[in-house]
Amino acid sequence: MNIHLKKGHDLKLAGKPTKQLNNIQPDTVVKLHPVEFPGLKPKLLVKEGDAVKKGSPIFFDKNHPKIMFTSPAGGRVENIVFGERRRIEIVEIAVDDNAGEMTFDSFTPDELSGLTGEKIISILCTSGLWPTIRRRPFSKIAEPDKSPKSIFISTMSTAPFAADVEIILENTTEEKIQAGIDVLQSLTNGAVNLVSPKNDSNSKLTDLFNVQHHTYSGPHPSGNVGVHVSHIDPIKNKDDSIWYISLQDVISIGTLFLTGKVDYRKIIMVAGSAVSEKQHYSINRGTLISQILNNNNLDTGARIISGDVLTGSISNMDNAIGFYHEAITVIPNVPDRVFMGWISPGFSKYSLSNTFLSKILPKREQVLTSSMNGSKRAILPIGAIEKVMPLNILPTMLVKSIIANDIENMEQLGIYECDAEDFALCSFSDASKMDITGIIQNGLDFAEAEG
Amino acid sequence: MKFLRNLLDKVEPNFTGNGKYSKFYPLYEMADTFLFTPADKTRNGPHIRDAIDLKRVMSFVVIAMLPALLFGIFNVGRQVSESGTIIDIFLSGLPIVVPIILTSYIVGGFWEMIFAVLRKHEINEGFLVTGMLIPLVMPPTIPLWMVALATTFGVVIGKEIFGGTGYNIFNPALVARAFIFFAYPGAISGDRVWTVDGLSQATPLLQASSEQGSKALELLGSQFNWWDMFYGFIPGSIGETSTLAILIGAVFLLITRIGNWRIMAGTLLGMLLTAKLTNVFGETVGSSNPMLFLPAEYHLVMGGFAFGLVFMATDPVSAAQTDRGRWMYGLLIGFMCVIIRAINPAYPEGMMLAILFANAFSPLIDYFVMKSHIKQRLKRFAA
Repeated sequence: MNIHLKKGHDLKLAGKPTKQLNNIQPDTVVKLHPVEFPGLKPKLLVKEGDAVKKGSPIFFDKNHPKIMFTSPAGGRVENIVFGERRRIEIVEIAVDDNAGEMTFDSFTPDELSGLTGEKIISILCTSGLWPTIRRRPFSKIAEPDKSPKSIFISTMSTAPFAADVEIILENTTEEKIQAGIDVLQSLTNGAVNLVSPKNDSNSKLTDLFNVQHHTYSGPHPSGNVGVHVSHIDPIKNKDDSIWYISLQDVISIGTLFLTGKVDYRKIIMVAGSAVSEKQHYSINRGTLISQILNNNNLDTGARIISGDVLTGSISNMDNAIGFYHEAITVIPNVPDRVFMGWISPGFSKYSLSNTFLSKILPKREQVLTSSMNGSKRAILPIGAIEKVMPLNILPTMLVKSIIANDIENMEQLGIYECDAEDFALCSFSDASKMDITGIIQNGLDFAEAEG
Repeated sequence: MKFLRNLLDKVEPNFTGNGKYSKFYPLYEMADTFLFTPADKTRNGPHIRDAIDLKRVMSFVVIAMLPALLFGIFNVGRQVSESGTIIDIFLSGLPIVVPIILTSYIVGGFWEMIFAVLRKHEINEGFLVTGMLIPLVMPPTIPLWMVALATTFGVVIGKEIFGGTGYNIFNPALVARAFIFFAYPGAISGDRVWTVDGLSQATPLLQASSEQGSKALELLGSQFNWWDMFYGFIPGSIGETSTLAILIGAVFLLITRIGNWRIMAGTLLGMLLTAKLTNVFGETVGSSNPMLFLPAEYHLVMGGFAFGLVFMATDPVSAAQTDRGRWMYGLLIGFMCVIIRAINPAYPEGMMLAILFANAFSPLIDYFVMKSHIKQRLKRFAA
């Protein structure tokens, strides 16, 4: 089925990456950030000074002790940084190429369909690839002792500057993707859904079997998993569960089962108007941003975002790229204080509203900074956020019910179908500058705890 | 501009933290963000934001009111000096209208400031609009102390006690007008207040409802023809008389998408249908109520209908806040306006009460829209 969206918007931003792909080998240090997994209670398995192999478990989740988080490179645990209340913030590993590698069972493609779910879960959990599978509602790591009603594979984000699916496909084989899909199929009684851009007809995707093919078209957020789920197999209540995973992680899983080794490499892209080398990179998971941006000229004080500009998180040179992120976006971070901006004609302003003269100029890619472009105010529902909300959701009503902590209303209005990322354009276009994504996240946290 | 920026940055420490005037930070903030877009940065995703903000939204509504304001000044001037160039006439209207506007902005601004300082929040731009709406719905003869009192009531009781702009149930400008209407009815109704030349002159609505047993159009006679009323050469509240000027504002609001087209369309449709209905009803029962026979196109150009439709009903805070709700809210206003005009013999102007009535019902309308949305969601899941 094709999912076509009418509501939404494709942001036209300056700083598009080229299709060129550069290889970056792990340098001297890789890092793990346990804090980036929401709700995770990490328990360390190593201490400073321990030698680790590539693929050795570093910590696990106390709530689900099966789920291991493994080292993306071999070497020695150099440093463990604790935050408040001994929260583990960073595990730093000094890379040593001769430290060896963990190996797991490997299979031929034909053997894969004969594997039991139990065996698959065990391999995924010990190898450290399990956390690549997340669940909806709540967008947390999937629970290994539960089975989802279906699984979704998202191929390419529609947010500004996503890693190009063609480049990812060029650097892998159909066999690996197929193996990954076969493994995932054993985890659910329902369908494995592959949702790819409508205009993409790469045979490495279209020839796959054992999977339901879907396509999407229309403006962002048409590539969001939440949109696909709501069209194909909607979340009905809190106990409903679907799992989702990105195409690159499916490839990693396929590679693991075919070779018995974890391939920690993935393709990301660097983009944004405040960075010079906008292109794709093949990196190791856990690679520091400073290493990825090594040959880049950054604007002074630029904001480094791990992930895309809509949903990514503020990061810095010393951090590793986020576990789920396939992009690093760098945008200008200087206050852009326009004289009497509220009445300026605005030939160079970016807006979804019709209040700037830029609207009548030909569309061109524009530089947007981290400026709020206004002061925070109470809700003023002029209908702007509804225009970019393609889900069957009443956004203003949902936001109000969340602010009022009205759990019953939240549930009835479909909070479980939502994820903060689906509301990114609502936050973007709201004239009151409300943190709508933050409110939705609060609502989800509240509903998970109380609902 | 550099000079201004430097000056603001220099005085800022006085208003923040332990500064001498830190209590008055809202004042500094207002001047600072009035002159320059705020320095605030995003703290999480999305890291970029649309260029629009509430200052722009509110000032655009004020811009949309300018044609009505300018014509209003001209129309008042016409009552003072019959002869002279258009400019002369306009200038003679200024001394009457400008003090009313100043009073409204100064008194309202004063209250906004008090509440911002007490509540320690920034001064909201909502008053830009309210401060202009209040003078435009007042008769030109209104005493300034009454404007001050009405503005106080509208801002404090109509808005601030609910928590400020965004939290109010009723449109503050309409609350101000309703206050005058109930507290000092003599100042805002009857036939003596609409012109500044001291002569009594009925508004078209009053004229059309003046005599039982006749029909509205007969009563209007040759004194008020449709085009005069459309252009606005009639007695009435300062900004309400010219349907043409209001329409220009409406087009501006619709193009910029600040005014909600569903509310406007709903209100217009509600009025058209109800007016047709009253016409047919009047004919059928042979009623002696003249207003039952007023055709829809006359409802449009008489009294506060057009002004209320474009500038009051569309207030996003006190209106319904769902798309389907906005239609129903508009229909309700159009319906109520005609019904009040036709059925209530004491007060022929129905728009103010119709909108206040719909304001009160808009949460209920949204509630029903929400319930039906929830039902439809459940149905989808059941299938």
